[in-house]
Amino acid sequence: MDATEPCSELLVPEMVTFLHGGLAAFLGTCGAGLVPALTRAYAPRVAPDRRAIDLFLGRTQAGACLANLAARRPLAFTAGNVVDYRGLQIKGVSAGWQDADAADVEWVDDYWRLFVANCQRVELTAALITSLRCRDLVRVTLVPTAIFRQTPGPGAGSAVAEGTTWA
Amino acid sequence: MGVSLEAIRRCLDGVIPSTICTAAADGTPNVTYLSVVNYLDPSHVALSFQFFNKTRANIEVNPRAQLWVVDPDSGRQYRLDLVYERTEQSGPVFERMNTRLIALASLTGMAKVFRLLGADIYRVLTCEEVAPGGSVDGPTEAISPPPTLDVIAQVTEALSACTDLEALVTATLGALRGPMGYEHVVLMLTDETGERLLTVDSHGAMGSGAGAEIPVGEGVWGTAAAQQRPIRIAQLGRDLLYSRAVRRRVETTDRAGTLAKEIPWPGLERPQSLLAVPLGLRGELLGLLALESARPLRFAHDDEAAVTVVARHLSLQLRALAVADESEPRAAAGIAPADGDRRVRFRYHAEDDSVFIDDRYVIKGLSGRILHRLVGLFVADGRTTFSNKELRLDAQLRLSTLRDNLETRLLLLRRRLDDHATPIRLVRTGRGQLRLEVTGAVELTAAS
Repeated sequence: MDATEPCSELLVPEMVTFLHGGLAAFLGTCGAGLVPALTRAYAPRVAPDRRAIDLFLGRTQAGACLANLAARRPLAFTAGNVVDYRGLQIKGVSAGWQDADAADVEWVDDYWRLFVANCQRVELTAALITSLRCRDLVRVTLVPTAIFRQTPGPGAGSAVAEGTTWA
Repeated sequence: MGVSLEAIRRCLDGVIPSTICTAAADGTPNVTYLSVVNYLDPSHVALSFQFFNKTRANIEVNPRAQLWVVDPDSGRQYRLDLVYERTEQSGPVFERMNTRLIALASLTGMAKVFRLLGADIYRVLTCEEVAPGGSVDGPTEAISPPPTLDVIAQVTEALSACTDLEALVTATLGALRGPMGYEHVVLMLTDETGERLLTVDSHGAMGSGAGAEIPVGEGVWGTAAAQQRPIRIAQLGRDLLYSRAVRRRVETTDRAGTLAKEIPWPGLERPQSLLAVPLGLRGELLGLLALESARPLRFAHDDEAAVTVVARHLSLQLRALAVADESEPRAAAGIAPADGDRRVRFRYHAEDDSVFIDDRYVIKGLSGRILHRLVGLFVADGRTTFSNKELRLDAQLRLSTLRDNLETRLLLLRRRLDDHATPIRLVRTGRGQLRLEVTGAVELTAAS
């Protein structure tokens, strides 16, 4: 991993538990001319030292975002729970991307089951949920530099100070 | 533009939250979920501006944005490239978005917390379908088509043929349930003060529901009435989840004291789709048509347009009938012998004008006062026939001189007596003419 920014205390364990909890996620990037590009992201996986997060994108869907990542531009990743709308936004830089391997696919499969269970709690149909899934996965590694509260309401968008709780 | 905005309007109903990405001047992106995206015209959308947040800061320095929306039926996903044009803080677009926001805030006790700061207007540069990542199977449930113009024409014609309020109410409910195909429909009319909505008839989960009252300004129905703007909600459950998430955040702040209790829903136990269309004429609120369904996404924008046409026509008819009713003559004083085989206990409480018949509560308020007066005349003089005109002139009834609501109150009274199958009935015998039918000998008691 090409971690360029140390941030060991930025992602506290409580956030890791949240991020591994079957969330809906999106990755945002910015291209030339300050044109934003957005793609659905899957199954965030925090590294054991909490210095990096792997995200999974559909290669076909994420064309513009992957092009922007290649230029090492900054990125933002927002993940939210479809049941209670708790959410986090993590900003950082890309440490590169590659095709997902077998272990990655297994992780995404397990994560997907949690996501489906959450969606079913809010009565989204199985057909709708299935249509959101991508199979042509690439793994993007993100090195966080800042974290923001994304739960709607007062304080949404405010930065989470290093080492503090965010709920 | 690859896909027309018109073709993806269902994506903008808020069932699946939309996602927006903006970028700061240094190229740092920002990704956030949106509660409301409104279709404006074939090349514009409006986004709600509730908080001074990073999205707001970004578009002020870089107007480009990308929006991701999902069709809640098919799961198809679309990317919209946008450019911010302006923010509106008044006018129809702002008011429409604000009305919906206030209604949901009211339901979750946050009327003093939620506030729309503006409607951000974006021009849509491109709208493209995102390559599906999985199987896209198409709609999972059959979508009920909105009423056709032919149906709407038939309905308005049927309403035009009505010559009294009762017929008009019956025709309206029948049309909404029958040819227009809506399952649960409630018709409410305003009371004398204009501050409450009285249910005069309903079809669906609430039975006839005659007499149920809702304060104007409270909840979805009350807010639509107060603002005199339609409200359409595609999946109430998701909107409530969002609002409750906000409420939980507010509870942790010094604004927790501004929160009120959540309002229990008055209709179906778990409605998902709601459509509220006010009845009014030249700024005067007359009532409300309220539709609900246990199915999400039951009402599309075309349904809202169709019900709005019916509501406008109904409003004109309500006003026309009110004028016609005032010109009717007094009734001849019909006298009928009471049926002595049965005793009818009629108890009246002056403090709230409530009426109990055979120890069962029937009605209160002005309708109760009217019933007490009619039964009193029946007991004293044996009179059974009455006219609207003499009731209007009857000082004991203390009718409002500002807002004539007698017909609504009489209709409500007739429905309540019918619903409760009481031995006292009120029958309409002609325009502005009533007959009291009593099965038994009345024992009238009054308590102050």
